[in-house]
Amino acid sequence: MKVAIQFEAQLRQVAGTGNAEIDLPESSNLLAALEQFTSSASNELRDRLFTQEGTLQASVIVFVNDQPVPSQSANVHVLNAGDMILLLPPISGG
Amino acid sequence: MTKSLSDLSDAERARYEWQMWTPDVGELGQQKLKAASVLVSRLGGVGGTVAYYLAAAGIGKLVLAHAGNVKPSDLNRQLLMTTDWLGKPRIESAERRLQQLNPNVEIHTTGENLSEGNAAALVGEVDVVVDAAPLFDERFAMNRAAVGQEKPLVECAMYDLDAQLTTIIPGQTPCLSCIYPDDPPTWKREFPVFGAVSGMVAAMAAVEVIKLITGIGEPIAGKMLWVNLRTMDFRKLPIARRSDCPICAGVNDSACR
Ligand SMILES: [Zn+2]
Repeated sequence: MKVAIQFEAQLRQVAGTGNAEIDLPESSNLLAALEQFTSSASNELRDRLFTQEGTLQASVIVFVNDQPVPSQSANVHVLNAGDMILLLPPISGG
Repeated sequence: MTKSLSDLSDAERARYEWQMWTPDVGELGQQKLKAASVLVSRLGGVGGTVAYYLAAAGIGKLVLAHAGNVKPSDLNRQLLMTTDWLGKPRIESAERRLQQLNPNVEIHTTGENLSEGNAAALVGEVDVVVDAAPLFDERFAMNRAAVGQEKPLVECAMYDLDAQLTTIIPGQTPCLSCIYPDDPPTWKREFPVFGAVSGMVAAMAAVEVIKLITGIGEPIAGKMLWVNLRTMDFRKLPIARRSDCPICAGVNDSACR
C-alpha cells in the first residue's frame, strides 16, 4: 500500500523534498513507515526523527490525516493505504 | 482584565475610530484594549512587530523584555530597531519607536530576556502574554509562568518561510510542554528569516491578542496554525493535551475565559 509523507521547515531541507510517497506492507505502523523511509535517507534526517533508542523524537509533531499521533504511539498506530503523514519539526524563530 | 474600564478621550476616539468601526468592537472594545496589559518576550522580527501592532491598537500597557544591543543583522526584520541606534540597547530603540507611534501606551521595559528567574514577575504584571523568543528555554520559562498564573499565552514562531501560531488557554488547551515534551535538541538560535515572514505571523499573533481582550471571534485554541508561505498552504491542525504534562496536567479550566 502507498502512503504519503509531508515534511515542513528544517525537515523539508534535510529530506531534500517536501513530499514523498512510500510503498509499505499492509497494516504497517507509523514507526515502521518512517523507519523504512529513512533507511535510505541521510543520517541527519534519521537523527532528527529518531532518538538513539530508536523511538520517535518527541519534539517532532506528527499527524496522520491531520490528526495528531503522540510519538510514543507511533509503533501501534496502524496505517491505511492513502494515509498522509505530516511531520512538523520544532521551530522557535522569533 | 485586572484594570477597570475608563472613558476614551476625544483624541483616543479620533485615533482608534477606524478599528472601532469593527461591529463587535466599538467603543467598549476600545476601552477593554485601553485597560489591558500585554507582555511581549523579545522584540525581534516577530515580537517587535506584535508590539508595534499592539501599540497601534491602543493596548494600555506593554511590558517588554529584550536584551542586547542593535546589530546590523537585526535590521532586515526587527522593525523597532533603527540604523541610528546600532550598538545601543535594543530595548531603548523599541521603546522609542513605540512611543513615537503611540504616546498613550504605558511601556515597562526590561533589558533582560525572559528566564526562569524573571518570568513569574513579568507575567504577573499583565493580562495576556505573547511568546516570540528564539530559544526554547525562554519559551518554556514563559509557558511555565503563564500556565502557573492561568494567563492566556499566544505562541508564535517561524523558520524560513514556515510559521506556526497557537493560543494557549491554561486548563483548556495543550500548553507548550504538551506540544514539545522534550527540549528540542536540534533547534539553533540562528535561523533563515525574511522580515515579511516574521511580520506575517506577528500580525496574526497581534490579532489573537486583540480577540482575547475584546472577546471578538475565536482564538486559535487547541489548534495549531501551520503556514507554508512557499506554497501558501495554511493548515489548522488539532493538538492534544498530555495527561502526564509536568506543567499543565493539574490545571483545570476554571479561571480563564
Ligand atoms: Zn501541558
